[in-house]
Amino acid sequence: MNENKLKLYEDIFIKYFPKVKCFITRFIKSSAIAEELTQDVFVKIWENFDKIMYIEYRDAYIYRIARNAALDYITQKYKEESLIDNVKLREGYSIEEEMDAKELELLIELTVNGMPPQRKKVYEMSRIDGLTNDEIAKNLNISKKTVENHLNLALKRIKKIITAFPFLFVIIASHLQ
Amino acid sequence: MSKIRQIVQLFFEGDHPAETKKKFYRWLLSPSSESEKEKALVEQWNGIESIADSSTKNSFNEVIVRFGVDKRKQRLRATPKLIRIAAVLLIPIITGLAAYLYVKNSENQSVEFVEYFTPNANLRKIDLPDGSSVTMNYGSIIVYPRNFTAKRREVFLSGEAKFTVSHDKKRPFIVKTNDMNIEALGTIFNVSSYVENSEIITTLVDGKVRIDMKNSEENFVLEPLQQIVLDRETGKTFIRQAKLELELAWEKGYLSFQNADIEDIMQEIQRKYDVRIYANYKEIKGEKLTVKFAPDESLYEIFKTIQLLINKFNYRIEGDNIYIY
Repeated sequence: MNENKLKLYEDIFIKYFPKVKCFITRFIKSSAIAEELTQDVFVKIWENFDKIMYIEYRDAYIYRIARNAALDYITQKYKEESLIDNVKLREGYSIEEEMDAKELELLIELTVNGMPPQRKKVYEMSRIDGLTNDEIAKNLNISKKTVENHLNLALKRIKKIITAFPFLFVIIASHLQ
Repeated sequence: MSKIRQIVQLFFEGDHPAETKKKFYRWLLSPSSESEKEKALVEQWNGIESIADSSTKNSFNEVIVRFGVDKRKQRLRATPKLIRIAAVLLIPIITGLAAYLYVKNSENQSVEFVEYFTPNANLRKIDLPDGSSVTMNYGSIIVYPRNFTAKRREVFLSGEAKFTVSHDKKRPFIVKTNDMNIEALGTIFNVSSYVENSEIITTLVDGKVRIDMKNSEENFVLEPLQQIVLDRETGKTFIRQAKLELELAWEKGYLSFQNADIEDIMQEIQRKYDVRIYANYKEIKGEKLTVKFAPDESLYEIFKTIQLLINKFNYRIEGDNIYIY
């Protein structure tokens, strides 16, 4: 094995392995599998080492292998369940509008997931389970005022997103009632 | 920020239920706004500022082992964790084993080996063919001959184990590790030799042991309750009085440290709780702690305690991942 080649490889490894692993972990949400995939990525880099010699493309090249590794893993994992979505059309809306609405729903869902746990719980109990503020307060053993605060903050956050896309308001109005 | 960038950003920075994940992947792979989605992914990539830590070196060692022998890729996927541990641990052992086999062959004997390893979050006690017993700590591996026919009883260790050696004056008992060999007659001692730790420690509980350092070729004899510490970074060795209740607490499920490096403590937590810790050690490098955690203490309690003891220690627990910053 060429000593210089191995040395350069190690430098690249030390510099990029944490970045690739972090990217894949955030992408697929499992650090154990991300470690395996990242190792695969670096075996591939070794096998195609001449491509990595050109420093100006290095970052983009490594990004591409990392992204493909994550995407391959995802398509493989969900193979059975078909990730291709069938959009059901509601009357009066075009397919573009439906897809936009779906996108917005996803955005709201991600926003709710990112809220502090209790706020998320209050929001879901209120909007999904349809409980009253009194019932939520009792259930979570917190004051009604706290429930209202949580709801206000949650709705404010969501409203801010939604007002950026006003024409979709009708479709996702259920989130705001 | 555009809707697409917001979606990607929120997904990347958070932890989400399975249903949401599926929705996100479905959306990502759907054939619309591809170039904007790609831009959003590149933005995430560019925003990552991870730096290497000791686990990176482990990964490096695992990867170079795979060069040229990558036919076992499929198997690797099937049992990722076990193979991964084995791969890390096998590197020092292979070197030891090769030397061992060479010696054996020259004596014209064939030797059959037994290999045991304890995965993370597991303790295990095994009996050796000569009646000696070994208690193995999390993430450790031991290799020994099925029968001790040779003049010496030799075992190879990577990780941590407590040995209770049966008395046999004629056949010395030798524990071989990457950095030191420990030779005993009839005695009880503890060896901590994880490849990812910065300190290698042998603690003598009872009897007498002789330590041969591999790098410096120095020899030491330990008295009961003494321990020898090798600092891997500086290569320096020193002997100190051991606090046995700390050193052997792991046997009973305790997590205990005697003036231990913060990085080694994090490694230990990773092994015991089978979690991944991502740490930026810049601020807390060199911090040392003497502390003991009960077997039933939660990760949350442990990190809360460490935070009380170390200035500038911030953490975030997200499922199996823990971030220290």
